[in-house]
Amino acid sequence: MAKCLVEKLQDCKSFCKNFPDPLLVLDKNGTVLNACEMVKNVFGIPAEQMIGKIFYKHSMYSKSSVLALKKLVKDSYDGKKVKPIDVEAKIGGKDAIIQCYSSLVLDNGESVLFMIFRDVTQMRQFDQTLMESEQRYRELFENMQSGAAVYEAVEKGKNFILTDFNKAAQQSDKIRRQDVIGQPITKVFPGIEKTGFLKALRRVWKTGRAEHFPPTIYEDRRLGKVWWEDYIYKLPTGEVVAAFANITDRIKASEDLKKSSEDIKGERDKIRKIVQSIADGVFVVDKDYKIILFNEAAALMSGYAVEEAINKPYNEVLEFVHENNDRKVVAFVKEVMETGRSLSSVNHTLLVDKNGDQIPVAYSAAPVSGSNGPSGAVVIFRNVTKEREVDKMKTEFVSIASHQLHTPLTGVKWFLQLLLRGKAGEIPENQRKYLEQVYASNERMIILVEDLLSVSRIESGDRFTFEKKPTDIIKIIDEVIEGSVDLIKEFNVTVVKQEEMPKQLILSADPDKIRQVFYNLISNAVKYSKPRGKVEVGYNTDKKNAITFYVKDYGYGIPKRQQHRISEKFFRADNVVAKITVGTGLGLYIVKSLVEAHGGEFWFVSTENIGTTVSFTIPRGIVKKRKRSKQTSRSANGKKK
Amino acid sequence: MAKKKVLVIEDDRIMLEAIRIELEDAGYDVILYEDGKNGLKAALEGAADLIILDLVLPQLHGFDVLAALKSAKEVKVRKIPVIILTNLTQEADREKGMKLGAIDYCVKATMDLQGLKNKVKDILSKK
Repeated sequence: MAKCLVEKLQDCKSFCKNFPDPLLVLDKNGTVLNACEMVKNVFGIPAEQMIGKIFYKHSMYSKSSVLALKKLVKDSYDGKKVKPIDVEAKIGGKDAIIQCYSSLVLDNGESVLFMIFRDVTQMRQFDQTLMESEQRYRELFENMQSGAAVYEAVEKGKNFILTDFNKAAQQSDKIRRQDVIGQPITKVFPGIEKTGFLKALRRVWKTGRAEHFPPTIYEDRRLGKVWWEDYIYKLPTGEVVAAFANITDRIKASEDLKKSSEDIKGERDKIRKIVQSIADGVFVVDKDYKIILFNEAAALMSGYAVEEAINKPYNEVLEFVHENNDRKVVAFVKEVMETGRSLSSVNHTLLVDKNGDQIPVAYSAAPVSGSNGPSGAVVIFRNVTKEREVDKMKTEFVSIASHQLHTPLTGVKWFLQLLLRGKAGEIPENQRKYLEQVYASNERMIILVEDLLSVSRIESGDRFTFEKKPTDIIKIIDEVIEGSVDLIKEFNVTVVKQEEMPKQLILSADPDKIRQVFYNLISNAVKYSKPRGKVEVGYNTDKKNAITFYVKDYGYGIPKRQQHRISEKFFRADNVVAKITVGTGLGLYIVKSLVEAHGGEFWFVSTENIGTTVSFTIPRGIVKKRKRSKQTSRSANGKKK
Repeated sequence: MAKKKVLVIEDDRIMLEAIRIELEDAGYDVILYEDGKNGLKAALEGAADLIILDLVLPQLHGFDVLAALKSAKEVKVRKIPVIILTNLTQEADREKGMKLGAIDYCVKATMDLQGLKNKVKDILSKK
C-alpha cells in the first residue's frame, strides 16, 4: 500500500520537485520517502541523499530536537492534533532554528506524512530582539522615576481608560495598578476635569502632537492637594501616555526658596535703604575699583546721579584733591585694598563735584573682606564745610587771642628792656635783679602763649602749611644753641654738637618748624639736666630714607611708668615737676606733631636719673634748588640775641 | 648828614612809645601814626626812609597800607622798605606780608627792641 503511494508520489515527482517550501514525505518511522529540491536550501543536503533515511537521525540535530521530531512524527501518525514546532539544528556550522509543519495525508487507508520545513532562524532572532526590547521598555516604563500612565481613548475621546500604570505612578497616586487598569480616568482621578488635563489628553490624542501640561494643582480625597506636571505623548498604538511628576515638594521648596530669597531681598533692601538714607556719602567699589554702590548723599555731594556712578571706576566720578596743592588724592582706596586696613583722611581733602566746585570733605575707607583678602572697599565721606567754618572761627579766635595776649606782654617786655638798659636812668643793682625776674617771667609767659597757640593751631588743623625748602639743619642747630645761651647759663649746663656733625646739612624742611623742634628739644634737655650737665646734639645716617637727629641729656630722665605719656599735652613727669617749675608740658607734643607733619618719626629712650635721648628723623626727600627768599626767619620761641 | 626818617604806624601807644625811644636814641627821626589811613597818607607823601608797619590797625589794615605803598605811582614810594611788626603769628599772615613786598616780618613778642633797631640800621645802611 505504502509502496503504491510512493509510486504514486514518485509519479508526482514534479510536484515534489517544484514545491515552493522544503518538503519531506515521511513514513511512520520517519524514513524519507521523498523530498523536494528545496530541502537543499534549508539543510544543505541534496534531496536524493535524504531519501530512504530516517530524517531526524542526523548529526545536525541536537538530542532534544531529535526527540521532538520523533514525537511529532509519532503524534501526527497517531492522529493527534499537532502544532508546528521549532527545532534547533546546526547547518553549515551555524545554529539554526527550523520550523516544522506536519500534515498526515490519508490515501485509501494508507497515510504518509508531509513535513514542511522553514528556516526561521532570523525570524526567531527578530522575535527575540523584539521581546527583549519590549521587556526593556517595560522595565523602563515600570522603573522610571516619573509616573507614567497609558490611556486609551473611549467614546471618541470623551473619556480615557487606563491601560497601564507604572510603579512610580502607583506610589505617587497611592493606588494599585490592578485597581486602575481598565478604569476611566474620571473615576481614578475624580478631580481631573477641573484641571483641564482631560482636554489636553484629548488634544494629544487627536493631533498626535506631544504637549507639556504645566504645573497644576490637583485635589481629591485620596491625594489631598498636590502639584502635578505632565508630558503627554501619543503612542503609535493610538494610546496616549502621560509621564507625570508629583512636584508638590519641589513647588514647596521653590516657594520656600522664593520666600527666603524675598526675605534676603527684604533684608538687602532694608540695608540698601539704610545706606541710601545715610546723610554721609557712601560708596562701595569692587576689586576693579568700580563703583557698585553709591548712595543718595554721595550723589548729592558729587553731582552725579546714582545710575551715572554705578559701574564706573570711582576716580572718574569722585575726584578727591588735596586742598593745598590740588593734587589728586587717589591712593587711599588702593592702600585699603592692598593692606586690608582701614584709613581715615587727613584734613585738607576736597571733593571736586561735577560742576568743578570744591567741597571740603573728610573720608574714611575700609576694606570689604572677601575669601582672598579684600574684595572691595567701602568709603564714607562727609561734607565738612561747617566744621571748617568752626575751625576757621577757632583759627581766627586763636589769631586774635594771639595778638591780644602778645600785645601787653610785648609792652612789658620792651619797657623792661628800656629800663634794664638804663634808658630811664641808672638802676640800683638790687632793683635790676628784681626787674630781671620780671623780665624772665614775662618771657615765659610769651613762650607759654606761643606754645598754647601752636597746640591750638595743630589741633584746629590750621594752616600748618609746611613751606619746605632746602634748609641747612646745622645752621638751625647753631642758631638755636646760640639763642638759648641765657637758658644754658641759667641751668649751668654745656650744650655740644656731636663731633661728626658736618658743617652743612641741607634737607628739604620748613626752617621755622625745624627751629621750633630743636628749640623745644634743646631747651627741654637743658632744663632737665643736672647742674654742670652736658647736652649733646647729634645726627646719624643709619636710616636709608631719612636723617636721624638726636638731643641727648644726662639729666633726671622720665620715670618708666610715665614714659607712655610723654607726648601728651601738658604732661610733665612727676620727678621734675617740683624741681623745675618752668615748662608747660607742651614742648614734646608740639615736637611730635611737627616732626610727623614733616613725614618724620619721633622716639626717645630714657632712664630715670641717667638721662634722656630724644630722636627724630627728617626724610631725605628731594632737595629742590630754589632761590632763597628774602624772608628772614623769626626765632620760633627763642630770643634772638 | 640829615637824620633818616623812620615812619612807625602802630596803634598801641605803649609800643609806639618804646619804639620811639629806642629809635630816637639810635639817631633816627621817628614819625608816628596811630592809624593806617593817616600813616599811608604820610608814607605816600614820601615822608620816610623806612616804614615799620603794624597789621591790626584802625581805619586801614596794615596789609592794605602795604599794598597801596607797593602799587604807588612813585617809584620812590614803592621802594621804601617796610618792616611788618605785628603780633599776628600765623603762617598765612607771614606769607601774605612777604608776598605783598615787606622786607621783613617780625613778631613783636619775640623781638627785642635792640634787635629791631639793628634791623632798621642794617636795612638803611644798605639803602
